[in-house]
Amino acid sequence: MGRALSSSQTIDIASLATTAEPVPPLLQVDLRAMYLHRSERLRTLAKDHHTMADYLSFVADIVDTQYRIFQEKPLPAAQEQSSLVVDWHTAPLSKQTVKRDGYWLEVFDQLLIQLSEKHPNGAIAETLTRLRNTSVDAKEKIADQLLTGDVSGAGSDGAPFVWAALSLYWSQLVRQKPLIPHETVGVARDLCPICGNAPVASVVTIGPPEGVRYLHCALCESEWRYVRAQCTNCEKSGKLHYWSLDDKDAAVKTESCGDCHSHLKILFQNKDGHIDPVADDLASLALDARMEEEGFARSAVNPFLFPAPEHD
Amino acid sequence: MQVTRRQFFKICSGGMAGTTLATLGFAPGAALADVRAYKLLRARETRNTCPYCSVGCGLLMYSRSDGAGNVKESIFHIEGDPDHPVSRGALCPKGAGLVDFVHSQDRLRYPEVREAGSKEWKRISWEEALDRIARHIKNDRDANFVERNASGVTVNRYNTTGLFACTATSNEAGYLTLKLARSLGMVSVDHVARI
Repeated sequence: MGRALSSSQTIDIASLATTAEPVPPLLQVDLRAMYLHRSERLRTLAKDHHTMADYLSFVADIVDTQYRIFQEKPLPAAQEQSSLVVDWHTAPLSKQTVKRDGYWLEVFDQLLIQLSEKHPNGAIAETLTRLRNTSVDAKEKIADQLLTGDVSGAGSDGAPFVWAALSLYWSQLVRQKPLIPHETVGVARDLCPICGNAPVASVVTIGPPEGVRYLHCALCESEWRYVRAQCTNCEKSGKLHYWSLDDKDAAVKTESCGDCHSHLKILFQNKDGHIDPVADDLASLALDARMEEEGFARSAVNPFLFPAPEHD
Repeated sequence: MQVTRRQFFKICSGGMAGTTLATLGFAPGAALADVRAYKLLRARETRNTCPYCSVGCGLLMYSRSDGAGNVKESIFHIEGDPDHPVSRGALCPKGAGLVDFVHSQDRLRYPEVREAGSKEWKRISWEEALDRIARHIKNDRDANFVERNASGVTVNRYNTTGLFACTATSNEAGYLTLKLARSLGMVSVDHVARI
């Protein structure tokens, strides 16, 4: 771009064709920066929030704990350094098939201990104590269930803590080996191509390149590209609408699909550079409430707000 | 066609009972207290192709459609489509000003005719416009059609009228444009998208 050509120079067509950088199909945000930013974002959102300030601050405490454990006790490096092919057919580090390392249990215990110190009373403390007194086998079973979307074992109160530990494990696991994306045409992209989990929200980039959309994985915090103006769940594009509260140019919107009757938030980083998919999704709960009234269900779970177990 | 693999959730109905927020001792009623205070806005994001030149840059067009039956949808913003394989979100200054073109007061909205010798433009129906164009083409073609050339070889040429077609057409539309022109024997055909 922007190269000056004097009249004596010849134009190399081949090089012109490759001038624009290809849009990366996968992005992996730096975990350290991500946790710091998420915590800060949650506290900023809490400050101005009329109705969820206490909850957002509490979630910021969980994120701070994730960050601290990540700093003090990162996942040990992998033995072999082979790369992984990501082809959108089979998730190479699938949440269903990977044999979890005991590391996640250590993270889980640490998380419960550190949060107990911060929250010694009330329903939070009761939940933390209950989880701490759970056997290793039961913890593994609860995790298995939660990874398939079944909240009954962990309970909606325990699920965010189990998820926070699993997420910290998977986020490091998928960053251990180089990933080689093989873009395959005609393959569904509704789930994370690396771990197979659903996204928490979609993010439109500030760039460069600006305006490209990525879905942010709720488990391994990877991002995969997904074209704009197409349903991220059923891939149809005929009955899409974009909803926002009060401002048509809002940075937080949600994309609804009249074909599958679901919606997923779409967060415009190019309108607010401080967007974090998890924090901003959580803080815009009012939008979810209004979308439910319009007949649309979320096609994503926020890692810090699980539904009641029996809910379908 | 494709079966979804994502689960669907409704978390706010029923006052958020049983959700994390409630079971961890936070007040779910408070979390939803000001939901009605907001105005819910609905818009559409639609793909299109810039009508100006042969590059055919991809567009994303944003229109408001707040659901009320009597409110007409209105485009409020147009930007380059970052997913477009050719233009990748870029637009030239002319393309970047498209939203003003859409809402221009001078935009042609219906067929008009300025009769020979007249200074006034007069609104006519689509039917009349098409009939009159067809009549002109027929008269011109009947008068000037070249069935054979000087050597007596059949050529079936219609040289006195050409066709210039617009961009923002697909391959199929381009194919039909060419078919129409050639079926009349038209030789001079050009297209903004260079069919």
